[in-house]
Amino acid sequence: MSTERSEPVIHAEHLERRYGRLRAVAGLSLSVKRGEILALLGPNGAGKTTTLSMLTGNLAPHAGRILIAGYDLAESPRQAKRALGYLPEIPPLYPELTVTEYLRFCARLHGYGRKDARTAATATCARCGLEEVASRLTGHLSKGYQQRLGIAQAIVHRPEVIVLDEPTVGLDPVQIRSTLALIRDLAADAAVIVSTHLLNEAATVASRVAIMAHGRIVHETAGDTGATRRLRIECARPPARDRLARIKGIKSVETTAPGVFVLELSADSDPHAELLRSAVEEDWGLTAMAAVHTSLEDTFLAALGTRPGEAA
Amino acid sequence: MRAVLVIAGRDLRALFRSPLAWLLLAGASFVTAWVFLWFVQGFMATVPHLPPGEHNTGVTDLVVSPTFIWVALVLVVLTPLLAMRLLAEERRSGTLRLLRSAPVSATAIVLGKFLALLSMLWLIVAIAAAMPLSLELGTTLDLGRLGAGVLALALLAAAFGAISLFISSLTRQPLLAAFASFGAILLLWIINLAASGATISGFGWLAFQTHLDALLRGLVDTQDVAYFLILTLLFLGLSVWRLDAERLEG
Repeated sequence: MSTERSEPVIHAEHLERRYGRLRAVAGLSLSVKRGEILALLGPNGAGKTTTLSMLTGNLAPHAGRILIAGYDLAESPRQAKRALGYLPEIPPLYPELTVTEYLRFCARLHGYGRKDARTAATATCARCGLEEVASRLTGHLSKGYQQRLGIAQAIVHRPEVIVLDEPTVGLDPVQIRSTLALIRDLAADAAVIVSTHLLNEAATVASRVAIMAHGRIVHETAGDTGATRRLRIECARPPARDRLARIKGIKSVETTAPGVFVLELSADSDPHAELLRSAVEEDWGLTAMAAVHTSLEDTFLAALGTRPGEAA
Repeated sequence: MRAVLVIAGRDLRALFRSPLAWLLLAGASFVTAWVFLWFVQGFMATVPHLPPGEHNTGVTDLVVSPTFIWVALVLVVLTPLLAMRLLAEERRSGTLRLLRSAPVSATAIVLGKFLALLSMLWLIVAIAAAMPLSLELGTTLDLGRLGAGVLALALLAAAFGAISLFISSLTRQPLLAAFASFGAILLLWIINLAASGATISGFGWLAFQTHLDALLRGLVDTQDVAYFLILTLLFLGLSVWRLDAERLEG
């Protein structure tokens, strides 16, 4: 999904929202393209939920504007909302309806006819792994299934923009994994915005991470794509720094202690294999090799102006 | 328009899946039937003392109208209970966000809820109207007057419903909404007592009773019909305004 496809499908400019004298969101702008997952990361109270409420038409911004699929949310809310799927903090379920009835209702709210709504509900059940509970009342579902159904509700009408507010809260680790996998899957044909206060979650799922504090985005960074960016090696008989720098895929070499190198890797080629072969052939006495994660945590704490170790 | 029906359909389904609706429906039918039979019995006792040839006209006066007054009182109690969850519960459980982020206007939400409530209330009115109508089997009814009475109850139900819906839109506590609606309806019911003596006064015009009595006497006056319609539209409008304003206040 690295190809850049067309214009952003959701675009917000200079959003502002006050509660009394408190500025919950102060001049926030963002835009997300199809195929992208933007994680809004921030401590509780940073303004994530307020931002998402504005993006989904539940709160009117005091300033700024929002475009969804080319429609201004304030001027043509119905066209804009047609392209929108939203999971609030608490899944908005009606306990008296069964899972299929509920999904059909959601599809019909979005203008689907009876027949289409039935097809959409069945397809969404399958996509979100809800088939085995399809005829249960939503009020009787476990927390994990309720959360899944919350996501199902947001995607039943195949929206171009999907907004998920803390989708993994209250789930167990297995459920978190499957939910994150589902979210990645959703991004195949939609722009996804996920809010979270969990760093590793943001790192694993997002293609971009926006760190929020005091109602604005203070830092934006690429999500962890899974590739190691820095490598730390320890050698008993260390080679020259230049020797290491010549290996394809190594951008720069830093010596932190005698025999300890931190290698900056370039994104386009993987030096692991050549590094290991050279180490054996030239007998460097390699004792350790480990990935150094430039952790999102460091970035996060730096962006919030807290030094690592200070945070409780 | 379709959104209105979709929302109304879901609300009715929810209503009929809770024991509350059935309980209230049963209660309403029981009270109406009890009162109706009581008035019929009273009428039977009175008939021998009526001048000859008069008893066919008397039945509407002595049975139908008093029964309908009681149905109106039943509606005073039931409407707040049936309406309390409509918007308050949606707000409390967070499902209002689902409706708000769907391509549905606040007007459609309010009308959908109102339609669901009104179907239920009109069902109660229909059941109540069927009882006096059964007298047609044994006697002659003044059908015009009966019709005016049914119209009165239908309009009254709409006005009660709109008031209760609006109050339900103000809070997230269904029970609080029920009590407040009950209070509001009761106030409008008895407000004419403040102007005792004067026949047509501002308070008198405001009161439900003034207009209900006129219609139950068989007088279908535009003014009385307009009173109920204005009240209904006013509170529906206020509900829409309230839902929209909420987005601004947060």
